[in-house]
Amino acid sequence: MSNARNNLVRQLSHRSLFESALPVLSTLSTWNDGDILFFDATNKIINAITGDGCIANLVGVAQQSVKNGIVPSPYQGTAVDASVGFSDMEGPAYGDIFSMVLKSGDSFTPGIPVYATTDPQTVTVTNPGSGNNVGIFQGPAVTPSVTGTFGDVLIGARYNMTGIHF
Amino acid sequence: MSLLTVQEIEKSFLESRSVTKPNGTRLRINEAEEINTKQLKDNIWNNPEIRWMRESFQRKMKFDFADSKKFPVMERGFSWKKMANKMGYPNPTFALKEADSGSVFPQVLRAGVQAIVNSMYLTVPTTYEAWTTTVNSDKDTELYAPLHGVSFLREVGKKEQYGESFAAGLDIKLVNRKYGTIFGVEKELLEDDTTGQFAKQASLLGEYCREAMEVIVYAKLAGTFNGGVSASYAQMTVPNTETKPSNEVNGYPYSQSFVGGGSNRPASFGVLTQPNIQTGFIALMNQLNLLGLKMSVDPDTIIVSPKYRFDLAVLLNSSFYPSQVSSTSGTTGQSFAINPIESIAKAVISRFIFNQNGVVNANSAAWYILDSKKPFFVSQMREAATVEQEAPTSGESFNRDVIRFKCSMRGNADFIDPRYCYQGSDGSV
Repeated sequence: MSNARNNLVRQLSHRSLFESALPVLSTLSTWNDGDILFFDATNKIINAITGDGCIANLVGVAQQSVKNGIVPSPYQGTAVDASVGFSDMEGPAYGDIFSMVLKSGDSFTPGIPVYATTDPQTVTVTNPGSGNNVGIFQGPAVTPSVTGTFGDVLIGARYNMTGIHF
Repeated sequence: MSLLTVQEIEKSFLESRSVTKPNGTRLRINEAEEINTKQLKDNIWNNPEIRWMRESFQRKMKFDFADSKKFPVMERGFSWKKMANKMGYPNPTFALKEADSGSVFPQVLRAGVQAIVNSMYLTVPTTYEAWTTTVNSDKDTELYAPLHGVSFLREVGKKEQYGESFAAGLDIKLVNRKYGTIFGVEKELLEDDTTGQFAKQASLLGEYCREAMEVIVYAKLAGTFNGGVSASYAQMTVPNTETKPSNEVNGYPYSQSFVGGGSNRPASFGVLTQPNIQTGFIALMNQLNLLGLKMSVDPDTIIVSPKYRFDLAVLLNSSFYPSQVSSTSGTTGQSFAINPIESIAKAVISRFIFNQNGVVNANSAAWYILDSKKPFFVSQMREAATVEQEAPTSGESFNRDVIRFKCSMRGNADFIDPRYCYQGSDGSV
């Protein structure tokens, strides 16, 4: 499970395929601020990625934390928690540089494509099979990374596009 | 005193403030007398509208913008650049970019807009204030925890142990939601519009803020809609009721069997008629709380859409029996009988009564009876209405001469306890 953090490092084009995320929320939608998100074309929602299979529909990085479709309330445990309705919120952003967690043991060099892992905030240099990278590593070379190392990655989007777009 | 020649007059107009004649006499041009300057300042800063604005501004910003010592922008020699440098910014544009959301500097321009907006805001006809309880909010979420009381007495036999009472109550939270929009207009259009109507559109945004709360209130009053859709009006979507307790499983906010045995709707909805109104009053007077005890519900308000405005007027204001004579033998009330519901409730007619499909329909047949004296439904205001003009020294205003106004309101509305409200129809009949 990832940790919620505002990992936006540099804002470049800052675009979003779903500027208003309200129409693509459901009780199945759960992610942390900073997670890489994908569009679940079956359920017509956005959600945190769970692996390489999600990257064909990559939509960017979450700008807030969401649990079961709503922003976590500061007051949990009331009798009406489940009744709170979905709020409109900013959708996932792409085209910017985000600080991602580097998979331990991997060596990163500037300009190298990075791929998704099962953790929505961790990236790897190893092509998991699809060849769909989530972005391009921006930071100084890291050889090899130790657990908990962060690195700057330009994250793109792939949904309904040919190749990755930044 | 000698007259000026045409050349001297032309020269005088070309000079900014004064000209010295050949004989040494100083002639002042475009420079007001001291007494006039004082009077002019007095008229500007102390007229009722500006004074109100100044006082409002001072309460918020802790200084008077008419005080030239504390806010010396009108003084000769005042430099925005020096001010920006003093505050640690390289130039005013940079400083004002930073300050777009909270700066105190562009406010002189904005303040005029605000005054217009606020005066319009007060004149908007809305109806929710007639029966909801407005709560001023200062948090992300407001909490409500009313207790319904404790269980009732029971007989105690001699030497028998007393029974224990237990309490029951609600545990409600209501999160504030933000609604808003941005209205942009060309500077040239603002200047050239001889009717002045575009300049007034900004004030319309304030009116919309108030109407937005009206929409929220009546959407939440309806509670839920067919197919689980959300209520929508124009581009605005309002979620279904958000205060349904997890233990209410038989429908909410309208149910025939609340926890405790209460009910606030008929088995089948009916049109707004005298018998159906009477049924609603009887149901509310028999309302039960969480503990199954009779509640003090004293209905005094009927809410309808414009569709029923005149029907309701007849029903509530007729001295004689307002319904058609029944052919059923033994039915109470016939020709020349009194009207038993005369003045029994006040009528609230809103243009924003949603129908069963979540749509604001002018002919929505939905109607409600409720007890407006109880704070069972809150309209929660975090920010009633804010209309701001984008700083003219940055952003689109600076780059393209697009004047942009942003309005926002933050709040929410919902039931605290629907047992004080009866839904006679959801609009389907």
